[in-house]
Amino acid sequence: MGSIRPLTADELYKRCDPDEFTFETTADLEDLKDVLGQERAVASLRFGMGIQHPGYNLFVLGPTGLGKHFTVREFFDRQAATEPVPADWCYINNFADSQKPSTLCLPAGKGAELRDDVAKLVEELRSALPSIFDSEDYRTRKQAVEEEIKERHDKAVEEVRRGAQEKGIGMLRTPTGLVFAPVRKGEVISPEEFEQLPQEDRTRVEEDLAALQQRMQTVMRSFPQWEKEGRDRVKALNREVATLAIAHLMDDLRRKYADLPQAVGYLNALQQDVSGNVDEFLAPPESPLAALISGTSRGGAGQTFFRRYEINLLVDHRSGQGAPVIYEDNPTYQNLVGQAEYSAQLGALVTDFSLIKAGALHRANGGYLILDAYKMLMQPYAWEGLKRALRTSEIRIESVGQMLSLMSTVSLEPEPIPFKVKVILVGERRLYYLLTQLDPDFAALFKVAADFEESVDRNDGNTLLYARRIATFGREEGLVPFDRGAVARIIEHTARVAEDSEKLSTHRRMLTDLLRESDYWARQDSRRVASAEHVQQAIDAQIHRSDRVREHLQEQIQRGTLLIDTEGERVGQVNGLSVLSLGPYSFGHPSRITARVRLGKGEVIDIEREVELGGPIHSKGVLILSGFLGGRYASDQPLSLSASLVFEQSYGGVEGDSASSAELYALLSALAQTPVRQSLAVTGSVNQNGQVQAIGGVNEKIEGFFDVCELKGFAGEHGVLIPASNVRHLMLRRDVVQAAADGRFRIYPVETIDQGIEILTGVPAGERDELGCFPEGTLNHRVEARLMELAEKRATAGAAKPVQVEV
Amino acid sequence: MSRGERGLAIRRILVALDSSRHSLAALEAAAELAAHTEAELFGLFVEDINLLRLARLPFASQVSATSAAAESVDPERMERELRGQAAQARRALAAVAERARVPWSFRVARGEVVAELIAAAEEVDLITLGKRGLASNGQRLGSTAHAALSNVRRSLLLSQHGSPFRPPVLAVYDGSEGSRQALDIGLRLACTAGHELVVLLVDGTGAAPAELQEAVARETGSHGPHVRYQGSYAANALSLSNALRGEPEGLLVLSNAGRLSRDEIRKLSQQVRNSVLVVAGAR
Repeated sequence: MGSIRPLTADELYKRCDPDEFTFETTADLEDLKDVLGQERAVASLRFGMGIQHPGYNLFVLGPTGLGKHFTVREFFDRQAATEPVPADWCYINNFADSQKPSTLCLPAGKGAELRDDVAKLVEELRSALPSIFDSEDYRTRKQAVEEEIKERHDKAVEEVRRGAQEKGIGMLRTPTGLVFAPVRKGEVISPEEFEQLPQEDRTRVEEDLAALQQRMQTVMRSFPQWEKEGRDRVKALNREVATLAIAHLMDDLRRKYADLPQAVGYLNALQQDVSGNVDEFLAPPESPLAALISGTSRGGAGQTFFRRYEINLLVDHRSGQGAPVIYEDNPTYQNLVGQAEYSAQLGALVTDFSLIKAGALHRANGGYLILDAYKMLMQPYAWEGLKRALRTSEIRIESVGQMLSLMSTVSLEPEPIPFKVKVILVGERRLYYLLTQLDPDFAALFKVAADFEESVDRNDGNTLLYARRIATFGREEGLVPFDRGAVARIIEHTARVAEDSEKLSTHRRMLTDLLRESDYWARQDSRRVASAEHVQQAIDAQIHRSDRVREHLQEQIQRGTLLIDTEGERVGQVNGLSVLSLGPYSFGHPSRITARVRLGKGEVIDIEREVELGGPIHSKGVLILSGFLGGRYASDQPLSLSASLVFEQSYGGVEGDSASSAELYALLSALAQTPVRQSLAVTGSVNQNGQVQAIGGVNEKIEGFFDVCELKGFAGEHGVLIPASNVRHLMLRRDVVQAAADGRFRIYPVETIDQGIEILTGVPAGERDELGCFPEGTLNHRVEARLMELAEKRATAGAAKPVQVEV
Repeated sequence: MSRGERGLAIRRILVALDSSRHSLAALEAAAELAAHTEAELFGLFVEDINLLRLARLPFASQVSATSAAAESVDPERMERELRGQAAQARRALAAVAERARVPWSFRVARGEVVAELIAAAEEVDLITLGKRGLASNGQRLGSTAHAALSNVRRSLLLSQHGSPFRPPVLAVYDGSEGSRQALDIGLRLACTAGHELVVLLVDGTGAAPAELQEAVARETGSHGPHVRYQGSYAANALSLSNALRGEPEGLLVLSNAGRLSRDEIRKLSQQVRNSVLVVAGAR
């Protein structure tokens, strides 16, 4: 076992030397506006922003907490400020078809101006028109028309009446019509008198009556036509008078907006509509009392009427500077594409163009829209709505009900608005890959991926940039400055978070939390500068806050409820190490792994898998063991053992292959009947050739065993076997480093199973000599001998099926 | 209003109803006048005996007002329709009177329209009639109004359709006792309605205007209506109707016992668009 040397204290922890810094506190450092270590992502952002072809929208991917949102917002805010302010968009009444409101596109700021001007114009018209139509001049002209028609009626009737009179026949009005009858001295003759008339007189009278009636009918049939003519003439008169009155009010506006053809077009349409609806302007406002009595509010309806002349300013860039950058925090379908709201009128839901509300797509039009991919995918139809807008390059406001043909209420079909926006989706990598895989549109619409790194290389340059980042953030948040010791400690901690002594974590939330909490402890300490101890206090407090389960497990081990040996030697029993992750906090703790061996047909039974407590990767690790055993010891004979492996006292699931080396050691120990030192713990996965491979969470695992040893008392040469390739990931706790420096605790970097088993058993592993045999007394020899013994027994037992009894 | 109470109290107003738009306008005007003078409304519907007689003629047939089609007429149908019309008139009267908050009564008579009207006039102080539309002969008065103007010795309100009671009140004053009574009534109406009073002075009133102004000022006091004097004009329809053309179409008040002859009054009523209140002179 002499070949593997335990790691020195320096190798267990890569310090950051405060003396390498040239500054005293972060107050001396310049701001760092650029994002640290995200060159690839920033280059993607820049590319995505610059390229102006359809489909070049961005998906910013990376785990949460990296500061993706923050970075993206900052980046686009800065870039967008230099770009032109996009146009204002309004919805206006479509006078030809009010169900299909039209759009009006005006230069930034002009929308509000036109809206106010038109409101003022309508207000003026409402006072100017009634006074014009109330004038003597108009009234006379209107009356002249009306009377002319009436006169025409009367004249026609009078003519018939005179014709009748000449023949001694009178014309009378009955309640429902006109009737002719022979009269004498102003009175209708009675039937008796009529009977006494000579026959020829009676015939003549009857003929006259029939003729008169005929004439009257002809006259009366033309009445409706005359009345219509009259109405048309009054209408034409109204239009003429109104046009004259409106024209001079409109001319000022038309001059003002002469260079905006769309605005002028709208003003013209408005003028025409006002001319045709003069009556609405003339109706006197009804008194509230009368409205109450009549039960309907015509005043309200009147208000509704004048709404048609409003301008619904959907997007207002009056105070805009640069292109808009919109972040929609609640990306529902309606919040994205906008909606037409409804108002209740006498129990019915009604809507018009003035109730159209803008969505984030409208507000971001001509600029940038940032959305959280997860939030958006959670909202029904939001993703579909966004894709449709991107595909068609227009925003069409349709309610979800309309889209699904569920609504039967009268709804609007507003004219679509041209859509030109860079959409930036921000989300986890998993979402990006899922969308790529599952949605064929996705790849066509989001061509640019900006992938955020979780760590950067730890070198002098980046360390200094990191220090400046700390300084910048501290200033932004109004935190106390950090002295160089504190910065060094933070750098070390970020390396630990990155699980790599040669990397620094770019996890923004971790950093900002740590800075804020260090600031808190420094202030608690009445210091104006935070130092390393405050940073340490913040880290310790973070751990302590989430430490309950770990402490509970430690207690169970100390009491002997969980059986872990840290002294003595045992056959087929090894201390494995696992990591428990509880939310953001994870810690390591030892588990007892045992192996039993007997005659069998060459299988290694993973009890965890049999009861479905083991995950697939764990099962894979165990199957590799059979491969290793067969390949090394039984290449020319049947592997005739049956081995069972188990994580003792494990009642939850086991996943990962980091315990496979420990399982192999337990198996070899059981085969060789050679005891394993219990003062050591093991981590590392193994391949079929017996090489030990890197695993994750190495720091937590070592610390987990260290804590147990400390609890049970350091009684011997405690230590942990780790894969040699994990050495660069070591950023261990100070007390562990100190114990290693004192020689109380040792970390062995192991490359092969042979190296490991030597350390664990104190017996040389042995290598095959030129004859292909392991030397006598070596561990490999014992294993091989045992396997041969088993194979022979199996051969003598013939084809008899071995009986397996599980314990 | 000591003068008004002495000789010219209007306590009962007759309104002839035939459910035409003119009679409805007259009803509105009568209700308003009744409200101003605290009088009672008396509605009269005359079932025209001529119509009933006509319905019995063997060849009776009418031209429908709605469809212009020829329809046969029989006595039963005529009776039914007249009853319906009377009910309608009664409903209209009730609605208008209740809105104006004046007491009302209603009667249905059968006979010659004008004769019945003249007979009923004996029971009231004032008769309201609707002016007819412009007839082919240029007349603005219906036959009933004509007859009433000639035969009835009562005050008469001829209401113009569409403008029964607009401001101001216009009173014709010619210095006669009758015109003084008319002026009193005009003044009273202007007071209660809050309208302006325009006094149209007729030639030959001599020094009267100055005294008149004093007398009017005395009676109205400081709370009275604004009074304006115009004139003077010749005592004939032409001159007065020209004068009225320059004024808003308010209620014209004049006396039939003044210097204007009945003929001139009739002509004037025909020529102007104003509603006209002809005050019967105390005889």
